[in-house]
Amino acid sequence: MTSDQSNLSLARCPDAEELSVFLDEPGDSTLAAHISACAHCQARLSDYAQVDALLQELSQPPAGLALRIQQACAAGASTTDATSVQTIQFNWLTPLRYAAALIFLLTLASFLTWLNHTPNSQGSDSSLARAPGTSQAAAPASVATVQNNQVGEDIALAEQMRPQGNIDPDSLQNVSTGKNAAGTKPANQRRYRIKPQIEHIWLVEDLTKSQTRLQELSLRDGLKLKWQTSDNIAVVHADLSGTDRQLQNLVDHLQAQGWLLLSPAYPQPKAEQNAFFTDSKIIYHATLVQKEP
Amino acid sequence: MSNDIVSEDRVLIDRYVNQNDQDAFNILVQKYSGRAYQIAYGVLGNREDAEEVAQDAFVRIYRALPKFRGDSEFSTWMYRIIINLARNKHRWNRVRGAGKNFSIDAPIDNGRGDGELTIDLPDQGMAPDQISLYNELKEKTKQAMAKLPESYREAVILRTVKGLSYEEIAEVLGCKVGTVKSRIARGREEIRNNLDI
Repeated sequence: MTSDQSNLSLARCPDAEELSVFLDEPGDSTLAAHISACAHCQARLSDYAQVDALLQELSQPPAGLALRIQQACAAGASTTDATSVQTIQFNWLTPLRYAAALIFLLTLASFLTWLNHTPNSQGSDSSLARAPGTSQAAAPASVATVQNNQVGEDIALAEQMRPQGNIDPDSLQNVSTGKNAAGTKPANQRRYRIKPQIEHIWLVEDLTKSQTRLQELSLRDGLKLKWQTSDNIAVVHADLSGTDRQLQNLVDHLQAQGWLLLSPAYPQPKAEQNAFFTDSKIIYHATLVQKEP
Repeated sequence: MSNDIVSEDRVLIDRYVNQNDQDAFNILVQKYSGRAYQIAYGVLGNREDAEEVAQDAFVRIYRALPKFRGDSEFSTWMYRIIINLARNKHRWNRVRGAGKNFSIDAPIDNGRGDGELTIDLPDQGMAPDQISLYNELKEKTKQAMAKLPESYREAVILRTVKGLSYEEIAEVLGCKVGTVKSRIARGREEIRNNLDI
């Protein structure tokens, strides 16, 4: 390098990347010469070194970490939530896929019903065969049944579709109409298993009191509870774990506190008779949302 | 030095895989668990999450080690696993709108409102006001780190905590060396600007 080139290099301060690389690999003599003569660059380099030191200081591993990891490995099972993160992410999408499929099927059913409607079939039985446009007026009991259902109740597909006129009249022969229309339990109601990961959103009157109540109920019933902070002051997240039976019990109690469950996933309040309990461990994510005044 | 470390890892892996020597695996855990935690902490900014990720990574390694082909160094393979798990956890935390967990078993706040249950032991050589300033600086660093784009944060933490070379970081993150240099420089500069030092 000529003295002219050296002087040119010294004439300007290196940019952030050049300085950062110099901190990691201090081999550039021209840069070293500049830094040794430049207070500004010295200060900047010192700042970078301080940032590195602070980051190292912040991330000091806790005592006994290696031993805990060895024990977890020896146990041969992943006990961390990080494993379940991927499961949760997968499960997160699954309901969306089901919802999309359901919407598609409902649309298809509506279209086919519309195509197959003929004057003869409409006239055959005034109580069963109705044009879609007249279905609600002609079946007030059925409509009331659907409207009164809480979100997430196990409503049979035919039960939801019938008052909307989405099913071919002939297919109604396979659906019990009398008892269902009166709002009683369908004869072929399925029992459900509670999934390993549940996410529920609850609407509550008082967020602070509700947190306290949830904590009390968890302690009383032996459920593990972790709170998570939230950026939104009107929202609180809690992670609980317990058996399916414990969580059904908890959900019943929460509803009894006046909380409103907005999520459709089981366990639903007062639906114990429909559940198939296995005493398996469930991870329950509860989001508490403050009602607007 | 580097070759010695590589050969030592290979020997340990061989003992664990072919002789089912649990002690050999435990040595690997002793050697790398701290670094795994530090990298996870750098990405996540939360002690509890970082430990979960480090633990999960080693459980996975424990199971997958017999299939480890040795195309890359063990450490590079391990850092990749850590980074991927920490990324997943970080994204999941972001989706959930929560970044920090704490247990009701120990509901003592540290007064900083960050939900972490840490107790900073004062350095005997520092005056109280210096300790306070230092803790403030650490807190600011943590916040500045959290503000960094994920790609910057990963590169910075691999460099500053582990001291990996640019080439090694490029291999772990799957990008070019020039990109690594640029990300580390920008990351440092952004943290520095946020700290006002």
